[in-house]
Amino acid sequence: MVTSVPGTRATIGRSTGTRRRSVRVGHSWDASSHAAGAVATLDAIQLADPRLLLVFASFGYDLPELVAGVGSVAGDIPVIGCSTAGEIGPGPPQSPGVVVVGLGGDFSVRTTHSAGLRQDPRAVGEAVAHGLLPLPDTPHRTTLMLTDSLAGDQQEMVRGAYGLLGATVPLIGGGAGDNMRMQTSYQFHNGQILQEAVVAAVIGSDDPIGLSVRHGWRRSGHGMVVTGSAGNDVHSLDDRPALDAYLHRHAAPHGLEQDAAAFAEFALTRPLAVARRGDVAIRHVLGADPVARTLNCAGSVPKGAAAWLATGDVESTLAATDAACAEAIEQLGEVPLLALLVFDCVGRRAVLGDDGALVERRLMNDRAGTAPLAGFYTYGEIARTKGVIGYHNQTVLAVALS
Amino acid sequence: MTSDSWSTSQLVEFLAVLSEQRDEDCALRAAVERVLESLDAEVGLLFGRDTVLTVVGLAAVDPQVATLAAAARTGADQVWVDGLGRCRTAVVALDFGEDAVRLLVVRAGADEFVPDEMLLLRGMAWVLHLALRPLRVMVLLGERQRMLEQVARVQRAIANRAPLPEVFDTVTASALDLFGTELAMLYLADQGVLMVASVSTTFDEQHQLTRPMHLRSGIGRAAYSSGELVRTDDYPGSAYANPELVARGAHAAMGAPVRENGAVVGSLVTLSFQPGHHFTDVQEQTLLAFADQVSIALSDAKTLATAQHAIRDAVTGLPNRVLFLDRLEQALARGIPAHVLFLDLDRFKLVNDTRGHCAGDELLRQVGRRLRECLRNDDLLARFGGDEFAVLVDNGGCDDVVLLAKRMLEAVERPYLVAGDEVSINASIGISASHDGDTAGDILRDADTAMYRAKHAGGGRAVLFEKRMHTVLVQRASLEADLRHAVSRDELFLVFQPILHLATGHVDTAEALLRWQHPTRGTIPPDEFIPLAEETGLIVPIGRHVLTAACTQAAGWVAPPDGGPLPAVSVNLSARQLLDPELVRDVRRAVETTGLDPARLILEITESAFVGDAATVIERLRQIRDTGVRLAIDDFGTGYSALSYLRHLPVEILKIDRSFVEGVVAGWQGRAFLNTIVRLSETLSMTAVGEGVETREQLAALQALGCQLGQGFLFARPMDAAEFSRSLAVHRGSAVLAAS
Repeated sequence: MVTSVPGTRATIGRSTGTRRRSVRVGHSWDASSHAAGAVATLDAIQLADPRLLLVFASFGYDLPELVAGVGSVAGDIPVIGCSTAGEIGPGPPQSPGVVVVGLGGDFSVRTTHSAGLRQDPRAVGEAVAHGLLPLPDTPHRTTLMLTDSLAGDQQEMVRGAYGLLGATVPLIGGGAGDNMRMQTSYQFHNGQILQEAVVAAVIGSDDPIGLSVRHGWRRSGHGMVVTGSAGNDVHSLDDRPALDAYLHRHAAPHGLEQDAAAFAEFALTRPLAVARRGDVAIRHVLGADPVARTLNCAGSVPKGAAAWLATGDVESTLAATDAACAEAIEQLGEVPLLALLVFDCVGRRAVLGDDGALVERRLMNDRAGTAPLAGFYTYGEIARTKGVIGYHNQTVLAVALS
Repeated sequence: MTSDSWSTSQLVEFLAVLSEQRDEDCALRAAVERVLESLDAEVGLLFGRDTVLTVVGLAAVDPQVATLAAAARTGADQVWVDGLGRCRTAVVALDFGEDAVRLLVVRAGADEFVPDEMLLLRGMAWVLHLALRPLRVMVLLGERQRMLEQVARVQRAIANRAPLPEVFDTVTASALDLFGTELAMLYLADQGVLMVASVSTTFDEQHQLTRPMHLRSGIGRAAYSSGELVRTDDYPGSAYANPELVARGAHAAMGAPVRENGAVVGSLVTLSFQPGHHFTDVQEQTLLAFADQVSIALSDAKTLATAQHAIRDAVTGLPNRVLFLDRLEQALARGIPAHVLFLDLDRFKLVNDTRGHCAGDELLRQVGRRLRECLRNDDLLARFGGDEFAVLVDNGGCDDVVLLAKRMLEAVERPYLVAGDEVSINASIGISASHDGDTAGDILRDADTAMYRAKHAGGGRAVLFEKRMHTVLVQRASLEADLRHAVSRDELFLVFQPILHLATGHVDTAEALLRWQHPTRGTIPPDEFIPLAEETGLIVPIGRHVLTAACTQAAGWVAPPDGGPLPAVSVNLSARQLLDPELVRDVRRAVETTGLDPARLILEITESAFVGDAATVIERLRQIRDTGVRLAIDDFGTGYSALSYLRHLPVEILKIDRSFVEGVVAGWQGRAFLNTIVRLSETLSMTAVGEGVETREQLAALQALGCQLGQGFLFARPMDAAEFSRSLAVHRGSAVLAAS
């Protein structure tokens, strides 16, 4: 039985032929956790001078085994990675597996991690930023962060990182997953398996790194005022208990909130939209407290903010994916695409359904062309490319490496 | 979302965040971070005359920090930041005076900070200033949290779209709660006269105050005039004593100025009737801070009032079609049985035409009020524009709704007093009910169909929709089918109406207008088939055809012998066309294939184009502008508050709606309005065109106001292509203009 596909690789060289970078992606869905990690990594490192490995692994694996498998092949090549709720790679779209991305050649890389998101997300952001300093002195650079969105206020974590790294380096990445259980997730740094942590790599390059983030949701119905909230918990909307306002406006089935799993599934495609400059920020509703009648969101919903129910459909979701990929690649200008990384929210994946996800994958592949495609379905996305807001929900982030 | 509710919520959120900070350093850092987040900016600095207090977005040791602060002190509005490139800047002071701490915001890219953003930034600077003050004086007293709650209450009233008087009442009621006093009054100046905007008391119904209409003296006046807090613990013995309040036992009082963007616009007063009561220093500070918050709330309320145009009808203040459809869709989504009553006034046009638009508007307002009185609280009344109203009744039985329609007809038919004259009208009502699977559009369409039945039956009646009425729709469908073939059968043709330089009489532009010569029905007026084309999307291919045809004609024109310029051609674009992703390519192709100089093509858009996806439309217009084609706003002044958009639009020409040109001879108000629009166009370096010029008086008024271009029957009616070309070839200036 075939459980892996050969890695896809793209290599780009400068005209001098002396400075080269390459990216290769390995993908395995072997039933053995150790084997899957080892095979995908082996594929990914078939390139000159590997500098960094990114590992996106299904939560269903025995993750210590998988990380050991990766380590058995990677040796001292730096590794960052996380558990996911679905991977994006060269293999079949709907098979849980592991995707390993190898970056080789003239990429400048530094990696780090910090744990304790639930207690002090800002301090974690600051510690991660501190661990990445000094930043590579290359014309282009970005900081890739893989976080545990289920623990703590992620925008506060981003604020902490931004406070040290400043405006001149974009922050990108996404929230690790747990196959939609919405309970916990894992982050990997070299041989370590972490929880409630951020693992990060700063990547420097002589050529551009294109970034684009889109969502594809629309506001629906009248606006509401967030009259009570604390961090990611919404207590009241228009002075009504938030859960009641949410269920009523959605005409939800009676008693839905009593079944946590059913509610999570219902809420996955029904996020909130919160007012932001010229647009809205989308907030995924993770769960509800049926006694306190509150909503728990994957991101802060500030008191006093205007909020709406958000709706999306397959068409607008696909259009956002396509636009994000196209825009990221366009930012490379004349420089050819080396690899396309995509961090796509699980909520958008739920709107698409299995058929829509296949179409989406085809769109991504079409945009990537001969360059490899890799990524995963995220619990929240990190994309600080403009301004200082860096944590998003229900968006798709495309990263074009050159 | 509208920028207004955005800014309102941002201020509340900002205040909430600041109130959570444990010390001043954290508050400063959090404040700068939140300002950057709200304005999508990258770097923020709080700096004084010689120091930098807080930096976000750059390392504190970065030498660029000092450079940025220096640039901000000199008032530079653009700076270069390594790694970000060219950036825009905005600076606001947190307090008055030369030593004031200032906040610099740096945003990468070319986007200027728009007025709404500056308003928000100033609001945030105020909030930060205030939040720091209470942090010092109230941190141990829990007052800050209480104040925040009361301010949030006011902000909520605004964000919930409460009418302004209700917002004012919330302000005074909040002040009562905040101080535990018996009386709070809000005064606002109207052209220098201090008027009572709201009073809240704990007095019972029988003992309410005689409400003074304006204030020449007293503590509110003193706070307003001095711009400072005024306080007395011996109210009866003070210079501010009001006999009625003294008689009731007023004992102590405080008044604080209410500011708007720094200028004093009123005062907030609170009085205690408890013997021996003394206000404390902390309460003084609280009143000052609260009054300042009220100032921000007032600015936002005004902005929000403007924003309501998007969902409310400007004439009657009633919900508009957008809001109505939204509510109807919600009812359908919840499976609630709904009835729609579609009401059209009979003979309203006559009133409008014979007594003027102002009288017409007044009549509409009165009709709106009467209809409202017929309804239950939960029923929704909306005005759809023109003389059309609609009512949504949830959960009503059919018989109840028919009875309601009768009541509405009777209410409308009672005579009105408009501008001193008695006016009588009646109405036609169509009623439809929701059925399984119906969309909001279906129900509205059925009500509309039934209303036409009522009208055709003589008006003054209500008709319940029946399926057979769809015959009318069939006819409409037949017209639609014909329209689909009109382009290929060459039944559509263009006529051209010149637009003249009012100073020289030269033809500047010719507006291309579409006509349809139907093979059996004769000439169909544009107001019959253009809406149909828009509704069906046929406007896109038809528009494409018009664009090419107009460019082809214009490419063949020759310069007139009178030395005038080679005229441009202007083509109307509908809102629907602007949403067509192929539009830019079509425009480019039309210009390229016909060889027309792009500068000689003007595309006219109406303000309604921005009601929907404004960002997409603006981006599309920018792309069109980049091809060299010029853009004009058509029927300016009648639509969606486009003033706020004008600065962001790549538009060069403002066509002033004919109603303003008509109004210019009606009185000073009409003239003042037209003058404002012409001055606005000058400020924005745009060319103003007066539309619908029909009389010499109108022409003279336009010339006197400095309006550059004019169009209308006074100069020329629309003419076919050949006639226009001929007229151009022999053009020797406008006789009318020569005479004027």
